[in-house]
Amino acid sequence: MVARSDTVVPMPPNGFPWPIETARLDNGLRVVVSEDRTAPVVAVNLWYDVGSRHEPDGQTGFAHLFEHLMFEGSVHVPKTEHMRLIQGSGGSLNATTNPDRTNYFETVPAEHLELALWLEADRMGGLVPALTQETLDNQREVVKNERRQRYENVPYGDAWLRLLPLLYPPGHPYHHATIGSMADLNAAALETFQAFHSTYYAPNNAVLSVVGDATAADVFALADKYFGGLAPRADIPPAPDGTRPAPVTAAVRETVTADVPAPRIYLAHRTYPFGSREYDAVTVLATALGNGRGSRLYQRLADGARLAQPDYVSAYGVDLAHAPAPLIVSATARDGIDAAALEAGLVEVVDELAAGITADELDRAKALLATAWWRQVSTVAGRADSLSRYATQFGDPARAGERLPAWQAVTLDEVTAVATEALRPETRVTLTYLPEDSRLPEESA
Amino acid sequence: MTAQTVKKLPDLGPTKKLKLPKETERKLPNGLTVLAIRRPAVPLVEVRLRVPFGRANLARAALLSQTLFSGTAEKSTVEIAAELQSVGGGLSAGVDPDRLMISGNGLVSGLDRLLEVLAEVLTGAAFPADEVSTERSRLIDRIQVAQSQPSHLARVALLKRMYGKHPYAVQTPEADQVRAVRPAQIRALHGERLHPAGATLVLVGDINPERAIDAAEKALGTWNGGGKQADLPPVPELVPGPLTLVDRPSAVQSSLRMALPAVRRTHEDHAVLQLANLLFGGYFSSRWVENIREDKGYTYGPSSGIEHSEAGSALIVAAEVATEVTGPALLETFYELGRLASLPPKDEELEQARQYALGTLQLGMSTQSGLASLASTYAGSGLRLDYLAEHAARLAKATRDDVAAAAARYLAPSQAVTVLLGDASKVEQPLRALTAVERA
Repeated sequence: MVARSDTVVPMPPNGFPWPIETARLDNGLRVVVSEDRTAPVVAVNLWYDVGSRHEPDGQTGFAHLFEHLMFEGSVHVPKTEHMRLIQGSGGSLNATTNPDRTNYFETVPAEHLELALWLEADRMGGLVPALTQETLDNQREVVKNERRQRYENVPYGDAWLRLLPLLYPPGHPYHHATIGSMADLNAAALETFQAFHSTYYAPNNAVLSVVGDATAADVFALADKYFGGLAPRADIPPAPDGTRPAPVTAAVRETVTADVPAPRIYLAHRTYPFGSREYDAVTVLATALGNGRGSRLYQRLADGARLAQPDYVSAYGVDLAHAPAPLIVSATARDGIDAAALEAGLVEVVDELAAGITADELDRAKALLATAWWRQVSTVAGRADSLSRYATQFGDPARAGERLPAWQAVTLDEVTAVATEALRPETRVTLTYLPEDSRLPEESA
Repeated sequence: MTAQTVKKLPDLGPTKKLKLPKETERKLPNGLTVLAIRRPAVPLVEVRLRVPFGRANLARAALLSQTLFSGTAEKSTVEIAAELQSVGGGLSAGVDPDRLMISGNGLVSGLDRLLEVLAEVLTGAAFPADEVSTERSRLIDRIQVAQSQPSHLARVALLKRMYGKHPYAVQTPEADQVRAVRPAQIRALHGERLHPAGATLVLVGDINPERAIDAAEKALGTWNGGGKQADLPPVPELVPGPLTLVDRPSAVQSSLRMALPAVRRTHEDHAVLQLANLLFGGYFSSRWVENIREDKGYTYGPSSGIEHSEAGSALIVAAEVATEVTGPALLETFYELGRLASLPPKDEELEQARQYALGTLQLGMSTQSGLASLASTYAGSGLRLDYLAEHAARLAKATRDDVAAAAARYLAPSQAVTVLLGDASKVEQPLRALTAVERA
């Protein structure tokens, strides 16, 4: 076997090896700055504390559709101009929505920092006057095509959409997927979106992080210049509380027969919220189980028993912070292997985790997580997103420095404990995909 | 009510000077060149090993790259992966008509281990029969999928027109050729071509460059310097002629591809040609993209860029356009190329393209991995990163006249090699209204 690792995992002396300075504007906007003069580049990142968990019944998909509308022009920025100005400066930009939050970000040469702040402030404070029925109709079609392209028209593409309602009960903020339903998107009215912006896109519901070749004093002054005039909102409605969902009392199964090339099994469990000690142990466990060719799933199912296709074994936690986050384990059958054999193999590997993992596996998982953490913060954009996340979800950007030491401190016993507690077969969600032709013998029988 | 936003677009701050990192270099006795750059942002290291691989058998080379880490006499594929994981790292290999590239990264404290594993597979990869068989079926699957994709088919047709009998004319193997590859042939190719002569190893990260090069010398100094080199002949000049029409019955989109002459990175026209290409179609805010996407909606993502290969460079124009507007899209493409080749650009659009070119240069070097890839690519052209200072200076001082002269020389549509893949029954007549057409 492979010798035990003697590699020292490098740890930042104070958790986060760059300066972090924070300020709060009078209107409540929190501003985080981390100066780094290595390259003449600056990342601008905004987290709005609104995601699909805020959507009531009948309005699923609205947070994400809204993210699209934010690129379609604001009071002083004509349609398509946002994109043109950032890309014309040599910069890159994007935005994402998930159940917890919506983020907007761009990386630009340092001399374009002011441009990026101006653009972000204009759409934070001046989107509603520019929002038209035409834009809404246009972006609704774009999002419906996105839904088709990413979820409906792709083999296994709707797994996440199916797993969420099986994992979380109706009414829970994570019960529905961020992309939403076609019916809700079709029913979306312009007034609803205008109200959505007025409610959630307020300076006191956002964190602005700027990382790179800029001083904190300059950024605070520019933030005040461009965001300082925007009005706060007094009573931003919170999302429904999902921190204590009703306990799972029985295993759940769903089988889908679809146009897929081979049987695939998903095993999913609710675990602990992102940010908790237990979830750190789940993260280490998932890495040992499913990361790369050294992982337990690869060794046992792809290399050993040859039940699973080597490219498609995986295990990962979905880092959600406002309720117990899911752990998802998946494998796809090789030619000639049926779903039952694959499931039996997968279940055996997962059930054995209650007996713990080896010290070698623990060390490798920690080394991989260290690389992953350092890669995330190796770019100014990644660092800015981390700072925004910890400021939004944990109230302090400096807590971004806690994660790597927390992962490195996870013990074998803690991994065993979360595997025993969170992966119990009686709380398991099993989602099985079967290729359409596998149904034929039954139909002809 | 409407909040107080600031109306005026801010002025641009002063352009920051390009910061070039220092490259430390040593050529080992076995012929391997090692380049090391200290970029201490995070305690990681990026590794790029570029080995010349021109004229290698395509099917064998592709399988070699996919099975290089699949076992040695002492270790299985899982053991190799686990060893790399123990230093938080990973390595993988890929191949193109010029070179085999091994790239990866890990914790900088594990650099020695990464280099040892690299040396083990370079000298002792065993290509076990069962692993080769698994990778062979995966590669065949991928080739079969590609053969149903219009972008792949259009590329194949374009390369054939551009390169004739040159080795670049065919860049992907056939499924049958892959099926016929035996492990012994991969081992033979390994013995013949995977050697340090002409190869470059790039290390970028939180390293002491001299010590990192020492570590590379310790691990790779005994890598056998034998084997043979294969020289690629220079690419032939483009031969403009009738548009080549490849029929794809009932296609809903047509794939338009054009090749135009271009110069190597070392040529004095390289910077101005880059600017001319940006003005034409090289980024979102260019004339061609604004015309056929933003104004007319003929296409979603047109692109135009200069492709540099060891044996020559070319400017490649590509767009997927709706079948019913195939003729008009070609017309607008000819028009925008011709307009730039005939009339000088405006100051404002040249400035914007210049900002974009300088900005992407900065962004591209701002991470360890971007820097490592750039250093490795430049080394492949016989250049070092200090050449970027010269390139940036040329970008900064190029005038409208310079760009107009380059556009006239390189972007004239009369010099284009044009290929179109689409439903011939619907597009042939509209295309014939604009240019001579021959069926593939």
